[in-house]
Amino acid sequence: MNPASSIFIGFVVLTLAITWWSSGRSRTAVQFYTADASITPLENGIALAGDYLSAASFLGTTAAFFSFGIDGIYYAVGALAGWPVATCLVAEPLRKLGRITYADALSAKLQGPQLRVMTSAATLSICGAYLTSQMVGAGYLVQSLFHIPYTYALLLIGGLMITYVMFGGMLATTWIQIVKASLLTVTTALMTILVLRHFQFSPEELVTAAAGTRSNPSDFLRTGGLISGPTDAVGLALAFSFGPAGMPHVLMRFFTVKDPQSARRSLVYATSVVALFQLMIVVLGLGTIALVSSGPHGSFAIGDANLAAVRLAQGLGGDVLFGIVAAVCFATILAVVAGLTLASTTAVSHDLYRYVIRRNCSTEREEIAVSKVATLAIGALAVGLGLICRNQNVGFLATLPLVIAASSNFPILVLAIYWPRLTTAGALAGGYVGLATSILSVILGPKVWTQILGRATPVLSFDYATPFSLSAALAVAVLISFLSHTGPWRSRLAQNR
Amino acid sequence: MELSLNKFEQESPRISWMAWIVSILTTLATLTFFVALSVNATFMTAPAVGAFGNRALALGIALLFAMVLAVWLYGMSASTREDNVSSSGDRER
Repeated sequence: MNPASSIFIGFVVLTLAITWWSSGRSRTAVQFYTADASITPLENGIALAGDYLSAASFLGTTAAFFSFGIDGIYYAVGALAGWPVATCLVAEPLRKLGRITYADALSAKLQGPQLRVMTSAATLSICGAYLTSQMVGAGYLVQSLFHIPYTYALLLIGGLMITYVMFGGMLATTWIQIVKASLLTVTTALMTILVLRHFQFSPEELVTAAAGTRSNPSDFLRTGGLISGPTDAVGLALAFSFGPAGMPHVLMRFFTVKDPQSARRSLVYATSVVALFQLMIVVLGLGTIALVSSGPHGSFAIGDANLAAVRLAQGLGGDVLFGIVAAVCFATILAVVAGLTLASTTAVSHDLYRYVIRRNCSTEREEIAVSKVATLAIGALAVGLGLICRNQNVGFLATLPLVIAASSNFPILVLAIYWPRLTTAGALAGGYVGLATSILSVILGPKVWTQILGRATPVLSFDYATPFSLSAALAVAVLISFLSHTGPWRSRLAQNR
Repeated sequence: MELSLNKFEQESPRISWMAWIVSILTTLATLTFFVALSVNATFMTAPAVGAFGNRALALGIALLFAMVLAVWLYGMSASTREDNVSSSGDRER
């Protein structure tokens, strides 16, 4: 048995053991959704980082360096940009107000089942897009690692993630994330040391070698290849800055700790792990340029750039390191899709079924049963989406949910927490406008309209419409709140007239 | 169980000015960095290739460190500011 198979099988056995252990502790709804708020800040911080450090981050960011040179720094810096906002503005208030989902926190101020329909639509859109990017990466990896056809690879991943979530709930998902984040960080550190050792631990030599692969080394310094212009740059920056604070699977983790202070501390640990990881990714990205494209493995065909990091491992440490890295990437994808599936399942069973369909009259047993069915359905959907989108850059697909999260969830959440005059009608209108404009703009942009749909020219010339969709959501929420508010300030306004 | 408006009023934590400043500054820094990269601004690129002679890399890494520092400073501060984030909402209820 090769090293990759051994590590992968070891990971699967360990995670199934965790799932079995967790299943006895995930009997009630609160246990299933939030691990009974029993996770410590350090554990939660590592799990949060694990949720965020997907294989799409690892493979997509190194692929961006490999394909676009210095422009890869967009993804490396952007990956951290949202954590200060989430730490300072969202973590504590959300934990204080909510119990299981962020819709619970919104319901502390606003009312009506329509609100939960809106938050569920946003959650399912975000998780659907994110799951797709993860499944595409997983399909490629397993195909490369075990020579299993892409379709069977997705079926294997789908089966495992359904098992984790269905039986282990949040407790299993958290510990699987902790194991995976530790494995990924250690493996990335090992690769970073090997890359630096190759260049006598001299960053200067590494950068020079990377630039030397270009016909004109000064081209290496030229930025602007990955992003088409300032509009896209602003859009991507806003998506990275506000997206994490609107991602449902990230928000859900704030409820797994005992109090708001613990939620805030979790983010401090998560930020530190993510920052360390991104620093190492910069080195690995430069390493792929310097070593992979000019090394024994030659240039990749289009579509294989996503595996540049894995090829780098092969170049550095032969088949053993190749196997280790590929297996860790696969483990990473498994853990992340489990977290996304749990967030989607919670939106369906807790927000939609319990509060919208059953009007808060369902039993706990019913809700848990619905969550199991939803897990199965979402797992099947994820496999289907992975098959449809197999030829897209996984790094780009990973940023799409950020645009949606930054345009729909984030503005409504922040307004609900900090703006006293927000009304249910305003939140609903703003949330739907943010969701619709962000999805529509992505579809009409160059990457989807021309590359996926095969049209000649895109309707919109930019891919990241966050400035417009975020502004639209805020403007509509504020306007409708002013128009629909019947509180004291509106009475005073009427009197003044 | 749905949370009541009273609970919201009692339990909403106050977020300090420091939180807003950290959030706004890090967002502005990211925006500036991204726009400068996208237009290949001259201050982002050094004339020669070398160890962090490429200022885009150096600035990007400096930004990473600054954000971690900001999160540590705010996140580990001892006090928790209570109450008064927002106090009304759907008053028509």
